[in-house]
Amino acid sequence: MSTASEPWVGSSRSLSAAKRHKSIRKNSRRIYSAYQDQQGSSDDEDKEDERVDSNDPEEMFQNIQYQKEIIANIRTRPWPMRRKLKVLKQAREIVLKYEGRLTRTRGYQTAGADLLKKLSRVLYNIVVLFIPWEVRIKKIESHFGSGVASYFIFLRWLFGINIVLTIMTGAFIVLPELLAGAPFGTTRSKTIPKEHLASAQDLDTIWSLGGYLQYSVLFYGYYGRVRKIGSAGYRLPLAYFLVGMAVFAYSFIILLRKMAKNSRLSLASASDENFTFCWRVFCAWDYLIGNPEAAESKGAAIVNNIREAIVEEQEKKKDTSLAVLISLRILANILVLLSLAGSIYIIYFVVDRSQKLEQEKPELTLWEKNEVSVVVSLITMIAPSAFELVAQLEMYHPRTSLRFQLARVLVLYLGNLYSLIIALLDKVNSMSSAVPVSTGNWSDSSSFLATISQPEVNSFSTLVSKISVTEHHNSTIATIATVLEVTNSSSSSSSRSSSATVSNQTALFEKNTRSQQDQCWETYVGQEMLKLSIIDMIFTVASILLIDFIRGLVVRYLSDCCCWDLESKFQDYRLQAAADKSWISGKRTSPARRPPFPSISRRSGGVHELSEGRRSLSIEAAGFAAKLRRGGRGHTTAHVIVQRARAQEKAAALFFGSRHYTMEGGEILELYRRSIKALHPHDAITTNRILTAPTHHSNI
Amino acid sequence: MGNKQTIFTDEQLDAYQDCTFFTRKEILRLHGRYHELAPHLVPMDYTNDPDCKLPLALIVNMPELKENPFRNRIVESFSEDGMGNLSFNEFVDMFSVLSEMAPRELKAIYAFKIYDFNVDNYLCKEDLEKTLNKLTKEELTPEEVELVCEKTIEEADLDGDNKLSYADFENMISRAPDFLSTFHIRI
Repeated sequence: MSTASEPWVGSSRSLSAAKRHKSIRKNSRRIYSAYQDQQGSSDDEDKEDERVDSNDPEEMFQNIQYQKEIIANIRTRPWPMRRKLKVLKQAREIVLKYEGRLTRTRGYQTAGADLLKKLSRVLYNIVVLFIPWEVRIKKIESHFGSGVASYFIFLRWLFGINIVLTIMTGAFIVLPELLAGAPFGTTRSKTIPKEHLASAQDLDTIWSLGGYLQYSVLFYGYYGRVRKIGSAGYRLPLAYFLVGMAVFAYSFIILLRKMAKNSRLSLASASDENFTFCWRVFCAWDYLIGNPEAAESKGAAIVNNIREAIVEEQEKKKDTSLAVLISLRILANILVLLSLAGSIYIIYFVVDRSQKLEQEKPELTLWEKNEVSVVVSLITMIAPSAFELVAQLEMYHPRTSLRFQLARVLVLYLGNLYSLIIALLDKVNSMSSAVPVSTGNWSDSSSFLATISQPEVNSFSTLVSKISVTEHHNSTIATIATVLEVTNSSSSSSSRSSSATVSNQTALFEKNTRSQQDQCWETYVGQEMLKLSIIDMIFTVASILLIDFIRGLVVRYLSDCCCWDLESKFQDYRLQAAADKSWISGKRTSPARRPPFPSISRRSGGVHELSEGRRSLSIEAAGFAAKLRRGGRGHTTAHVIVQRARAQEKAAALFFGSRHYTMEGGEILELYRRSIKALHPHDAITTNRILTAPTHHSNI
Repeated sequence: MGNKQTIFTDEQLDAYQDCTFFTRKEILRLHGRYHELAPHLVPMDYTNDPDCKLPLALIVNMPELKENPFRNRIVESFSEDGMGNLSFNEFVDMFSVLSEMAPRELKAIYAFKIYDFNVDNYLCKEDLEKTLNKLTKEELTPEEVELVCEKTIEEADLDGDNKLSYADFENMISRAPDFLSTFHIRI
């Protein structure tokens, strides 16, 4: 044993001074290949120092720099402490001894560089203080793991982007208008018509964004049509156009940058290298665990993990008949296409119907007014789960099926949005064509841009519509180019930049009695979109509060009563829905009889992260295994385990006693990264907090 | 900085700060932990570099290490004599490498040492078997163990010698997404 530990203890070779000078660069490169590194100090290093040519300042300087580099890097060397201390001491002595002899300028130069480094470090520490929610996120990280924390980091990043966009819009459009524009009540687009004044403050009106909200800076109808406003001649229409473009360009560029940065840092080239078994053996154990129960459950999880891998390996050898597979896949694709078509049609139909309703009835019920938004939200919540179910038919490798899922959900969103817009446009068209032509108040035929940016809950979409108003009185031709960036923003806490700016030149009618014709159709579209955002947010919050929370409680407390395996069934369901979130914190009870835990002190490693990463969920299997053990070797075949594993490869969380263990949907994250946003898959806690793509909760 | 502590000289503390990833405070705290493992053995005054080593049995009973299946190997890898007797230097070194600030490469080196049970600089089949058995607390059947070890070597072995050298191991572990977060002890 002692001979084996030789390489790391004493050293056989020692650095000669001459070598030192020449090999400065080589050594700095070799810092990390130190496993085979036989270099180090020995006792005769002192003598060799004397051989340094002390007459050559350049060499001295280089030497000192080299020693400083050694000092800076010594902590990354895999040497035993004793050697490190010795080397450090000698390096320090050399630096001290020779530094005095250097010329002033060199000394100052390096002193300056050192000072700069110190300053930047201090500055960085100060800046970190201002990052919002930093402490909270660190806390979350220490409890639930870096996967969960990355979700919140992503949200924070989105929030930052939204703030920037809001500032851009606000500063260039809203502010000038507030400062220099005609005050409220002067021009036609800025007054609330008399008949509405009475109801302008009703909750109902406010909910549908009418009344004061409608005739405010939020909607484009407010903005005048003069080319310049104020005494300085601020070109407001131009500003609209440019801000719209800028918003789009900014978000695009920032996304690209993030993706590039992350893909550079992304380590795993998922498809090619497959170290499944290796990772399951070497990276499985979480060294932070300090609690016996946690250790036991982790051990069980690992066992099951490995067993799954074995079974999968064995299953790879046999294959299902090709014909059946293909026919199933075709069937699945047909179903998906049908549902996509269905959703598009439904949306169109609903918008159509709302228009008819508006024409028929003067007063609409709450449902009818919000029907469109509710339907869209429901579809976006339910459809991806349906897709997931269908995908089970296909029996792809989880990674591939994830990609398919992503693609399908993307198409779904795009389809929905397009359909919504087209339906709205049709509606607007028919609205405007129904108006009697009045004496040309169709001012100029300039084109304006309507930008609706809403980083809403489920999609961060920037609509750029270009409307060209023709001289034709009866029709408004509008072409809309919709650009969508579907980011995976989810959670109810996404912020919204509340600017829905719409431009209109055409809808200044003189006589009309109906409210719709009094407003700009762009304002109307803006209102619809905003309502959609709001309702979507409400749905998300409601679903989290009601569905997740209550179900968690039910599963936790009632699974004892119910003989039926609530956990596994809900696990599936949980993961279906939860797979849509990259972060899943489904709640599952442990095998029920465990007593709740006292909180573990941090000191003893209370941070329990079970980052199973992208492997299947072993926690669930752990619960399983524990059940098996409890129930006296009950009867589960390996096949079942694998099926579950397949179905639940995304992520799961185990609610174990009073603690959460969270698994990261590393797989999902990674793919998401590639497809839409780049993320840092790396679990390094301190560096790059790039955010996973936690998506809207109903799609991935 | 005007601290009144008398455990270490300032130079010693600076040296520790340079050689590990810990700050002054953390080093002092670590000394407290080391001391409380064996209050009668560990002197409070380290200014003269006392030669005091704690045996393996005391160290592996620390709450941070108690549940770790590899605790013996961990402590042995960081001890100079290879038997698991840690002086304070090695104690600090161990936790420094396992802290979250240590770079991946450094951790990989020590991980390799830990999993190398027979200390021959290779992860051979026996090493893997032992690793697996410790990891799973012997719950796997021998056939399963056999299969897993074979697959592991098959996956990671690049030079075809049926055992994993450090290069193989490093190549494999550098691509593991969760290595850094699992190979981490917080103290």
